[in-house]
Amino acid sequence: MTFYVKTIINSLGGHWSFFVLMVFAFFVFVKNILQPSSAKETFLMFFMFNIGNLMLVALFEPLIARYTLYTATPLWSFMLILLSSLFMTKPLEKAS
Amino acid sequence: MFENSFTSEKKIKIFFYGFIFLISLYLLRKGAVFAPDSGSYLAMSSFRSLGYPLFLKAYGYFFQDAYGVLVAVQVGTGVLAVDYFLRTLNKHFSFSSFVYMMLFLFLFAPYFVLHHIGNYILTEALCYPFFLIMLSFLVKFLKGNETKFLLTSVVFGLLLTLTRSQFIFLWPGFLILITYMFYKNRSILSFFGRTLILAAIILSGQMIERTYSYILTSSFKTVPFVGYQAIVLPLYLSKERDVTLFESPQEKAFFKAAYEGLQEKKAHINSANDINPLFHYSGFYNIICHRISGKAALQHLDPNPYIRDGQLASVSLTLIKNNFFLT
Repeated sequence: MTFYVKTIINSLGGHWSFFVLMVFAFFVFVKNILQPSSAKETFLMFFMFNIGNLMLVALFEPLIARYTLYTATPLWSFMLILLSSLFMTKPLEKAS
Repeated sequence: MFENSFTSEKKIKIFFYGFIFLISLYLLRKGAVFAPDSGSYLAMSSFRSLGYPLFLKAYGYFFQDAYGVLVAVQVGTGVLAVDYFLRTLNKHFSFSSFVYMMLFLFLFAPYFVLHHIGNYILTEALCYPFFLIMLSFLVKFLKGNETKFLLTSVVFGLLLTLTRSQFIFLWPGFLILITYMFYKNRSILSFFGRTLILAAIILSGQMIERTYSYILTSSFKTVPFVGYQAIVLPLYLSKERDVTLFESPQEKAFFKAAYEGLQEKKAHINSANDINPLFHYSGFYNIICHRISGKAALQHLDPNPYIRDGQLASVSLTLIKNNFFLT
């Protein structure tokens, strides 16, 4: 799987272009997507738990960082929801 | 049942859940997989947290060693948890059916790509779905500020910490969220009430864990597994001459046996050769932890699991202090 990801990144112009794209995407992400307060709160909550988990795992397994999928997959899922909202015309946040 | 763009499209829904059902059937056909750690959960070893061993014990009471049903239970719990998590997010945020399905596959991926957490007899099978459910209730809490959601979430947090001690990272997170809700709503009464609930649940978790340990080992202490994990990397990087660092004969004998084991199984950094040491170490982690250092600790260190764990932590600290700057 890592091989395929690497091949795709390389065919897109290598790690540096990927890095520039990620930095650009991050700014777009912060500026446009985290406008609704509940989206911001939910994102920061997932982020906080992910960082907490990574810090704890790093104490014992600094090189391999296993057991981080618990917190990483929900965070990435929510980021994908936020990114997908870029292509939607309706607001991200539903009225409660 | 929530009404949203996904649930209103019945044909897509039937097709998609049919696809998930097929994946689940494939996983069931694969059957249960025993990892090197599975035995210690089935044997209720003293260095394992109580959640998963008790779950396996309860399972064994009904189904004995028919582990096919266990896989069905683990995969089924995963499907329900992923679905519940996504439905909760979909209730509060707008995203299309396509994104819903893609995210379902992404969140369900640990079950059928690489990890196969539903098939392995390991704690992930319980922790992953519990964590998703816990997060769902926290999303509801953030949105609705209702204590019942926080309480349910904290209870799942408790189940998680009782299954894997790793989840203690949740407790500061809960406290931050409670403080944030106080900052938002300025209700001092609910802040104190919620903090008390959190403290009571953390303390009850400690009591449950210590009582379980007392039943198993007659020691009213928490699960001794810190030393077992902390020793792995320092051993992987150690040098033969490090044996001179230890004064206690027990620690000396342990280090000698562990170092010999590392050389014999080619699990030492010196044996990495052309392989990236990161991948080499990652591949040998379980072998070093359970088959080399665990075995050597049982043979040469104190028979009491709590003292033994402390000795392992001490050996680990000595090695880290002396090998921090590798030469």
